[in-house]
Amino acid sequence: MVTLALILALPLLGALLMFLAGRRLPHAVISAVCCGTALGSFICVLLSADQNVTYAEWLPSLNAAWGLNLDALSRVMALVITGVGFLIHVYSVGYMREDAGYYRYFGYLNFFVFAMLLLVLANNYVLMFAGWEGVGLASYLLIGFWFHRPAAAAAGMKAFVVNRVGDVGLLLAILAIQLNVPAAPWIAALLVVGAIGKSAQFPLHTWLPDAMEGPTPVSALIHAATMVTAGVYLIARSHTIFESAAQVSAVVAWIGAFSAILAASVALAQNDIKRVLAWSTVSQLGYMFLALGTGAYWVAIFHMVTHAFFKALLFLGAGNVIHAVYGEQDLRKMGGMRTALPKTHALMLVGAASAAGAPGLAGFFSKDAILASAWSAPLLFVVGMAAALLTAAYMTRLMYLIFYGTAREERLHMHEPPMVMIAPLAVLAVGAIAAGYVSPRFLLTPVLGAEREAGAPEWIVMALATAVAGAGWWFARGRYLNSWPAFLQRAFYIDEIYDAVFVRGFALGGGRLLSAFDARVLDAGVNGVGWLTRLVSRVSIWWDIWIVDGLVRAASFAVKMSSYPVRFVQSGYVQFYALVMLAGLITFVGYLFAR
Amino acid sequence: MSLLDVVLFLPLLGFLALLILPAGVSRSAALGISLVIFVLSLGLIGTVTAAPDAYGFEGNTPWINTPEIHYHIGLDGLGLWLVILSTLLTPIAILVSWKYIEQRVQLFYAFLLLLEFGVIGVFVSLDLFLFYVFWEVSLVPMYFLIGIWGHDRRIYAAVKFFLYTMAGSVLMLAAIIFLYTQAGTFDYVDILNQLRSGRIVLSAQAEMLLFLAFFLSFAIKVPLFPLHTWLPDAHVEAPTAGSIMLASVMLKMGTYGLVRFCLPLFPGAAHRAAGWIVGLAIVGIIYGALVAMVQPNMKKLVAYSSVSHLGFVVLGIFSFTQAGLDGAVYQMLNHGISTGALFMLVGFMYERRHSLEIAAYGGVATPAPHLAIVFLITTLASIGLPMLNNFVGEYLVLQGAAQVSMASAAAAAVGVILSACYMLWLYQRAFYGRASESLAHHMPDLSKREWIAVVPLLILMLWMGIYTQTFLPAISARNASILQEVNRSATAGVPSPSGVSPEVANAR
Repeated sequence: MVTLALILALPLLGALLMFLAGRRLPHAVISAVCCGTALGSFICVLLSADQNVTYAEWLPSLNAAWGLNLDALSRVMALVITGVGFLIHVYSVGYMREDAGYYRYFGYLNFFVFAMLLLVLANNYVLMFAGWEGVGLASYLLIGFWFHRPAAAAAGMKAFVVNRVGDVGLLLAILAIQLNVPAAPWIAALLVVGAIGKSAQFPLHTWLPDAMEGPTPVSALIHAATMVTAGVYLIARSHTIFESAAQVSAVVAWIGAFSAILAASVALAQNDIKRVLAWSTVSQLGYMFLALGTGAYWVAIFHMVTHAFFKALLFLGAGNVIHAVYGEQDLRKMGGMRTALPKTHALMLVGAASAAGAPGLAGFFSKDAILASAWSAPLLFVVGMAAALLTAAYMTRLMYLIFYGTAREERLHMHEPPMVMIAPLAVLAVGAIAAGYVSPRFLLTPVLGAEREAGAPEWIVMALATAVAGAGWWFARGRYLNSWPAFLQRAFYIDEIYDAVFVRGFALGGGRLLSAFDARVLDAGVNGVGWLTRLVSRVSIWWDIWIVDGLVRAASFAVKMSSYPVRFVQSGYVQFYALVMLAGLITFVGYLFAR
Repeated sequence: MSLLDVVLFLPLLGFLALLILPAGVSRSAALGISLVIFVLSLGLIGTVTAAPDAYGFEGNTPWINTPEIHYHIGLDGLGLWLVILSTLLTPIAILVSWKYIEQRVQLFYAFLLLLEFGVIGVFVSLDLFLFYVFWEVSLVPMYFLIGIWGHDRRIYAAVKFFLYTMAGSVLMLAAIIFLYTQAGTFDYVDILNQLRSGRIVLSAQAEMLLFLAFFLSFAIKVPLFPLHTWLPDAHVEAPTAGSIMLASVMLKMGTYGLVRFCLPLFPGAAHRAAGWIVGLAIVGIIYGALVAMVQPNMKKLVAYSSVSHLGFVVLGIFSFTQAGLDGAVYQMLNHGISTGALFMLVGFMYERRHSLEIAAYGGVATPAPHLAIVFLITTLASIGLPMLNNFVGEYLVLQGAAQVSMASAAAAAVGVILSACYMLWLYQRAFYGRASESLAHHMPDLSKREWIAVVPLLILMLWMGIYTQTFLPAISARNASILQEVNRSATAGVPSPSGVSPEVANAR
């Protein structure tokens, strides 16, 4: 119970320490604390027994509590998160050594480990969602780590927003699960929306290549080994819902297969070393979804483990390459680096071979198990094989462009990085070789159930897989300098389409339209009422002045008019009155005399 | 004299004291008084949370003999945290104005305390006439806060704010007087009892008209789409403290009124109108978010985001479910805290650069990292990240909405996506990128005073997100009894042919 809580508490405390005091701590302390918490967390996972503990209430009315559950599935996930996480922390000590935001970087990284562990250890969906959003936040912060670069800031936001689309799907699914609605296919479909957002599957895959704006160790940890597998974990964890939704499972398999081949073909055409690996990640996650869709849940987790080793290895190797050429990421400007970076070359070769499915290495076994699970659906099997061919091809192209041939640009002082940036790769390389021999099948079947027997003849699948991997190598070996058509380089223009439809169309266009409506119609209506009130008051003033008061004045005018002749004589001059009196007297006297 | 009387009248005494005291001490005096009020108001918590379903600290004395109007106040689980929110935000608003307000200082702080008096009065009144008086009292100081210390178009905004709200409240006054003619009293508790026991019977039509009169008045205050256009103008023109009090406390008067009066007094009409109101709420959620997206002015952006957030509150209220109503009340507090903090931070930025345009910023994170971190945490709270406060409210509201109709929950959830878009885009444009020379020189990091003002809100964001048990049980218990009555009366009384039928709402 204590060690279980410690698994989460250690990285959280590390993160809090960095945020509150990291600015004042020396690098050595920061490195020791943050690597130490990751390692400590790893040890705690090993020491803890399977258990389900609820520590405190959160939202009692909704069965949401602060509670953790450690079982075989979450243990495998947690070991990868803390194990690979520790190695990448160590690597970062060298890679980020000269960065001004050293403490901030390690704080975010520890926070990520905490959130990811919360995601896989939560014993209820609402708490899992907290971890789910937490890793999204860590991803946002780390992609935008160099926030003064506009591209990094934009990529962070894009990752968060695209993920949010998936998150809302997941949130609605959780609402439905909380309501105890009978398990229905649409709940499974909503879970899939959440899963494809986080795991960068078509059609929500566009954020992952852009996420490469973050520091390379981050790409290795978050955008290859752990966070992006959260979607796989989600579906595996919710497998009972999917088992009663066969159509949705079929959709999952097809999303996976389609993403695998789409991303593999795009990876073949990329010229940025990290983008090749990013698209490769989308493709490999596609394989995991293919396995999930065919009901081979443990196989998906198996591939998740082997992928974590070989892809983290490849990313860290790419980090060494980028380090050696002072930040250059364009493959067209590399070449012939084998002699300058012999250790990195050897280690990356292991990773690439494992990814390409070279017999005997880890990737071979897990990919083989996935292809075997798709045997009963021939079309899926063929697509899977085709993607395997492309995988071998782009991995070959990547290795040749970096290490073989002649240097395409003059470079001085190329050298291997310090030991701290080599040793973690060596450990990962051991995993990329050996992980295939420790199948988690018997560990996971009690939790996830056995896969449906696909009836695949093991040796045929293995032989076919080996053959396509060889074909891919042979195909790419002679063509690695070729330039590829624009639609592949631009990833089928999906980004451009989304930008036009959703960003500039719906969000900005809709916003401007409604904003104009707000000002010209709604607010104009309010102002119109004000105007009307003033108009009415003007009319009533007019009425008051000219009609009501007009009548009064007309009456007075009439009196005035009628009094006019009379008033004429009322001049007020005594002399005049005397004159009139005299005239009247004379008239009167004259009249008397005249009679 | 109960503690509630003290908490209610201290702000008024403070207002009068500030008018008498010399101008030099007014801001310190205001801060001192408001802090005392805050500390005293904390004393209300224990009693009310112990019995959230009853009116604690109830006081009832005649005020005017004919017509019979009582000074009847009381505090239950619904009003408790809103009162605390008001008493907390007043000293914070005073701290925020510390340097910004340079003219007619005395009057400014006096009006802030008068505003506090008005809003607390609204949340504790149990006499309809008294409620109406406080409702109007709170308008006056805000009118002057905007009209005197606002920006360029302050007169237009202040008049618009005042008249728009007045227009609504006049209808409410008419409805209150009509109820008086029926019941012979303005006493809310008495009227409610008479309605429930059948001593006064309203025809369906009369009930609907009365409901609409109250509803319109509250909906303008919330503001519910399409009655919201006064809000962006008021926010943009108001000084920072005005914006904080307006967004955090005054808008809640509308949503509080809906829960306190509209639902219990007119349950049948509320149920019948729910379909339309929920529709408007959902439109408002998406509409507010989309309009916020394209605003070049930070305050306008936050103002439209309020329209979106308060759409969630209304959605929760008119779901007639426990989760929905709990979420709505929780979200009132959340919005008060996170939007209050956003307006505060925007105000800090304005004091440094004298512009509210997003385009005037960019790269602020480099010269002012602490401001950037605080703004980020507030942004994350505002977009509903779990473990921060808004998530709990939004989640409960969506849960309540989903119990009635999954489709309305799904439509409202679009607002969750959009909120991330407009807030993070704002953040990206204002804080990320490279800072220009002139910006870097005029963007000092948070001062000690600014830290003190914002830290309580940050703590609450985390607290309310992680440990809901401090706040939610009192709210929940009160809501449960309101809801029980509302749903029972609605089914027993007037038949509800349209809208959401309570059977569905109560199922599961």
